Amino acid sequence: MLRFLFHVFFPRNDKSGRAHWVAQRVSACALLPLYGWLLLSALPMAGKLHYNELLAWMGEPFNAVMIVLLIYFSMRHMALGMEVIIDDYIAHPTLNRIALLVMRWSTLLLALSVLTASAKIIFFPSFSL
Amino acid sequence: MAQLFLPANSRIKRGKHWALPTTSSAKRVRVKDFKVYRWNGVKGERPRLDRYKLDLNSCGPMVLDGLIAIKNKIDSTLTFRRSCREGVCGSCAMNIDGTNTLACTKPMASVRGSIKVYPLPHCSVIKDLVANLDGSYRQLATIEPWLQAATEVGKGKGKDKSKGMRERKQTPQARAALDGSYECILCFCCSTSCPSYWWNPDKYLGPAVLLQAYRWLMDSRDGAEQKRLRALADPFKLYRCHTIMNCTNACPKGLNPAKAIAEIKKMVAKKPKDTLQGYL
Repeated sequence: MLRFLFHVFFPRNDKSGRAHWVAQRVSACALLPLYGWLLLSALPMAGKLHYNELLAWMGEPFNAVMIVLLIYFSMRHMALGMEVIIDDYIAHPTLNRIALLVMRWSTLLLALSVLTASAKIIFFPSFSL
Repeated sequence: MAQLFLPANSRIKRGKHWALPTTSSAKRVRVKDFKVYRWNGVKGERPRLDRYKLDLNSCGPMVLDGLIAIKNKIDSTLTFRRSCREGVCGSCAMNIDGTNTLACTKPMASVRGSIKVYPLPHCSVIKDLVANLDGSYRQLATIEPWLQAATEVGKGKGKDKSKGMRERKQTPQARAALDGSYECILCFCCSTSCPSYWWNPDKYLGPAVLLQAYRWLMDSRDGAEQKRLRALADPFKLYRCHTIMNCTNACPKGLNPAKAIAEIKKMVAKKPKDTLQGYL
């Protein structure tokens, strides 16, 4: 299951570097409106909302979808960028592979835990009270 | 691999101070101070920084004129490459006042204080200011920098022996597409100023070679576009460019290799028909 998710997150069919380049640009373009939305909607609420009101806000379908997209593209974009840094600075082939594996698995676990936490708030807000 | 410290044989020690040569001229001397990297090519010996004093009235205005004057009048052991002395051959590329440029087109007056002259950065040094560019030349050969036409011109029927021998014509517009890339003189000021090229000089092609690749991709007479793009589409050969723009900054001919690389990336994103599926 985790292995499957890993390969969904980090496909292996990119030998040319082209898909990586396109994916980095697409995720960057996707993040622009997503973070714009987050700032515009979250800033006015800052300091005014109660905890359970925030849970309710996250539970609204549109907000929930936007948050899940935001997490997905953020993590994806971060992993793509980290891959560039590792490839640039770690030339030793074994060390490079180890660094990439560690980076990818930790990104995937981080993404999964954040998504699980969001799902818990979105679907079972009463558990979080 | 990125290194945080210079290896012992690259650490520069203090060198000789050479005095101002005496002149019989009645003119007031205008002294310019030179600090020049010296390494005699003997393994195990550390490079040093020699200081020279030169009277600007005794030589031409460019840094290359200064170096030639030093070699002629002060220290004949100073070694550097030079040929055309007017910015069309690319031989005298070196690091002057912290920037890669051609010594023959860099005026001494444009440098404040002493003029620091080093060989091109992050290359192995052959002697003094002569950097080893073998790797870059080998990379240039890999992009096949020659015309590969898809069709032959000249019919070659009967008495016509012009088969494949006719001139290939271009419209002025098609010719204009080569402006900004055909002027490159392959001095490698750009490649050796690029941090990505410093870290991966064996795998990344570098801006100079990629600008040449772009020059052939843009040529209306060339028919090997797909083949060329396929050969370039590689995580290291092309995509180590992170638009740092040092190449464009350094180019002594005022060209823009960074833009050429960006255009190649766009062409690769559009052209070769392999899958992007499952990647987002």
